[in-house]
Amino acid sequence: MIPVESESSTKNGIKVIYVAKENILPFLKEKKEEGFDTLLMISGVDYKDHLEVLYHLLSSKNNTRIIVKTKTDGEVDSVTSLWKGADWHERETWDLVGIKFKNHPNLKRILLAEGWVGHPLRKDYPMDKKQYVNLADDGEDTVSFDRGEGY
Amino acid sequence: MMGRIQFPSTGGRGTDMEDKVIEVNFGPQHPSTHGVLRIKVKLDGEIIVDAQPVIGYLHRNAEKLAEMGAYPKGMIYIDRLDYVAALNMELGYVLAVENLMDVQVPERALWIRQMMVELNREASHLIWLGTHGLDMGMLTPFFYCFRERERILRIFDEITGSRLLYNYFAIGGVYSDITPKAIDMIKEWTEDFGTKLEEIQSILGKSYIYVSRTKGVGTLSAEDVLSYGVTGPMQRASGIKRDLRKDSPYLFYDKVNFDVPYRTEGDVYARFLVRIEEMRQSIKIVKQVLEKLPQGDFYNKKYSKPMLVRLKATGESYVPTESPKGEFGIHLIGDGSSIPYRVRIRSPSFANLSSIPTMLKGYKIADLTAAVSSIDPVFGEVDR
Amino acid sequence: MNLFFFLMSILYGIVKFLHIDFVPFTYQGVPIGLWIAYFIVAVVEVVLVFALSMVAVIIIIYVFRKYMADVQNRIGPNRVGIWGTLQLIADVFKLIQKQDIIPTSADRTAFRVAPYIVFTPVILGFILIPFGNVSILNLMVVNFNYTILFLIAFMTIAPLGEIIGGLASHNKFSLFGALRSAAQDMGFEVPMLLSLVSVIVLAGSYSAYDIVTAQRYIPFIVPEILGFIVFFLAMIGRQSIPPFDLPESGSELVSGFSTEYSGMRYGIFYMGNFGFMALSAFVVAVIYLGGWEGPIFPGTVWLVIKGMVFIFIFLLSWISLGRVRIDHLLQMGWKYLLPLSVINLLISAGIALYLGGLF
Repeated sequence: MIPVESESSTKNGIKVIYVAKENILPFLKEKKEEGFDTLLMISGVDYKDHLEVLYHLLSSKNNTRIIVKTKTDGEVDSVTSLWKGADWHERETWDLVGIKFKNHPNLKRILLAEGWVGHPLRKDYPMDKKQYVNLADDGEDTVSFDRGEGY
Repeated sequence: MMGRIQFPSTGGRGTDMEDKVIEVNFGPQHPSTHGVLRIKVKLDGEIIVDAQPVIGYLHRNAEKLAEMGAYPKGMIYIDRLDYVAALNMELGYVLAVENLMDVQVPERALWIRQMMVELNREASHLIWLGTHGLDMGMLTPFFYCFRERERILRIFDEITGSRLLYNYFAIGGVYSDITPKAIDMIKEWTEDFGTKLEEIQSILGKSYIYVSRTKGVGTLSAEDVLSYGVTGPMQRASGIKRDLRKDSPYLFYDKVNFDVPYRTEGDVYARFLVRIEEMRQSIKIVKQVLEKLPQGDFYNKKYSKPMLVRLKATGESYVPTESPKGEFGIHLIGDGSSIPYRVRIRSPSFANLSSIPTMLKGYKIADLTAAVSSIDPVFGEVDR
Repeated sequence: MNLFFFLMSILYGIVKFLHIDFVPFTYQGVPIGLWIAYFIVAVVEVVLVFALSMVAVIIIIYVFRKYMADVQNRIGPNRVGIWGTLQLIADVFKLIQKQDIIPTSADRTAFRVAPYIVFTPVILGFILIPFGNVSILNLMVVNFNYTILFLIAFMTIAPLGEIIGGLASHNKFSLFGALRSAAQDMGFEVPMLLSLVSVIVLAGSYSAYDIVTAQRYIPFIVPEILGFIVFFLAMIGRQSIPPFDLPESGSELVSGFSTEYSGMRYGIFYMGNFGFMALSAFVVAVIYLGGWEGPIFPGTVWLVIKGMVFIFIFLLSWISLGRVRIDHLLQMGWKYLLPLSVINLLISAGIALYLGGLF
């Protein structure tokens, strides 16, 4: 049994479990073996003093859900070895919240262009600084602070 | 298959294709990518060796935008996620907010919501059906589907005042009541939509060409479906009978009678059949809602419009709903102020789309369009 | 316009050369004026046929758009002229005005020539169709012993333009379109030619005129029903209209071989395709339905009626069917159509041997 730090629940009764960040991969593995076979999404929340990673799990047979949370300072283990779908969700969380996933096969930005400065869903992200996307010669997008021909 | 192909002389810039594998970019501007999907495809002749989707061309960061205003203000961004099924998106947000604030909603409003959501599911599936036919080289079903969708949009126009983005569901109810004229329109629609659907289905489903192109193409096994977090009609076509309307009923789905269609093949044809059957079930639901629609308020009088922006909430809430594409839900975290601290959108198309590499490997270029359109991705929702 | 005229005159010269003994003006005292008169008649005939084919193309495009719109619950063209009849003319003017874009890395010469390679043979094909058998005004522009071979040769040239255009565009989608076009033509050409051979065996002649006269009692569709099916399917395939529109395949390959084409060059491709449709409808009518043969009406009317029937079948398949996949198409061509046409050839050889007097 992996130790659970604390438990609570959402307003409509979905169980929320806090796990230490070192234990996240074995804990989710254990949960997967318990029957939580679907990873619905991975999200990150910026609480200013720390970051949190949320894993929404669903057991399609028992029709139960849990939310697993872990507090981190910006790095957790990747769960792509458990669910293939975690790949994109982790890339998105890295892209928008800036949480690094260790051992992720291809941790690149997914929604924003490669080279973007900052992570927009951080609370301290400067909203007034505009970044422009340009098309490079090889067909990939590049980002810069001066407008160029970009948008 | 292709061997060595030499372009004709191009002034010293001829491309010599020594490699057997060609890399082709499908999209973001391509007639069959349903918006701005780009797929980097490696091709060996006509056969797909590798397909990597590239997304983000429609990214607006709706999550950040929704975190910047009061709770009811987030609605307009949520509306624009899946713009062909905007009411289903609104429902997910409204349920989450109401759950977070313990808002009571009158029964009539809930029934109206249920009916509108089902109508919008039909509209969304009709768009899918039309564009799917277009991707298979059929122009005619597209027009039939849009003709039928137009009637639903007229109903929406009558009830909500707009045709595409409604902003109709409000915290504590809906913005306007259903008029008798709208009820007549819906009744008329429910009566003859079934036969029209039959007609459209027969154009595709009875065509040997269509069936031979879709059977056994773009297959996803049940394990893949679970591993990728694929939900909605795609999941049901792969043999997993899950529908949130039945499994964890919200609104009044437990008070109406409907079946959950599912198939086990997991190919494009199975998805086609599942979606068509879902549309039939939606007609059934709409009919029952019309029968059961109670009289009463259509919104909670306690939550008048000026009040809404001052609503405060703490805690967190996630209400899963069944959108036309799959499980849609919004994880809301409130910090006690009138502005949500975190709005996290679970978008079904995003997860469904991530299964593309598995779905396409080993098939032909022509199967790419068939398989991608069978996902029914809407890029407002994928890129958010 | 000058180009077509020039080409057609040259071709007409060649064809007449094959047809009649070449008579120098000093030979046997034939006056030179007769030669000039003959030339003028030829020119008038060529112009007539060119006009006729162009009108046919315009009418077909109009009918197609109106018919398609009707099937799809739309109105179709209705702004220019009465009921939108002049829409195509307006479209041509619009296309001419458009900027002429040639990709920098394209092969400029091949890129420019390709649309004409599609378009010219189609127009040339029309002179070889026997439009009627009125004794005074003979509507056959050319009649010599090998018309049907020339006809098929022209129909074979046209898809080459698609391949050239696709390769010259220097675009991957165009390349795929061109390759598909090549594969498709190969798949359909052989069965098509084999079923044509069996018609030639029955008629005992390479001349379109003789093939039509051989059908005065029984049209070839009766003894050659297999061949007809093969030939007809191959004709749909050769035109690359849905369900066999693989070279273009709007949703997969953007626009296939014509991806980089715009303006009037694209318009010429477009008109070439519809001209090809009209031409192949007439060819099928001539070979299998007895061309101008028919009671009461004059022969030309019969041919046009028969041709229009086939055009409507083409349009119907265009509107109602989806696109086949390339492997299904090639399987159909090589696995089913080819054996069918061989069987058909054997049957018609048997008929020619034992019931030769019928035709």
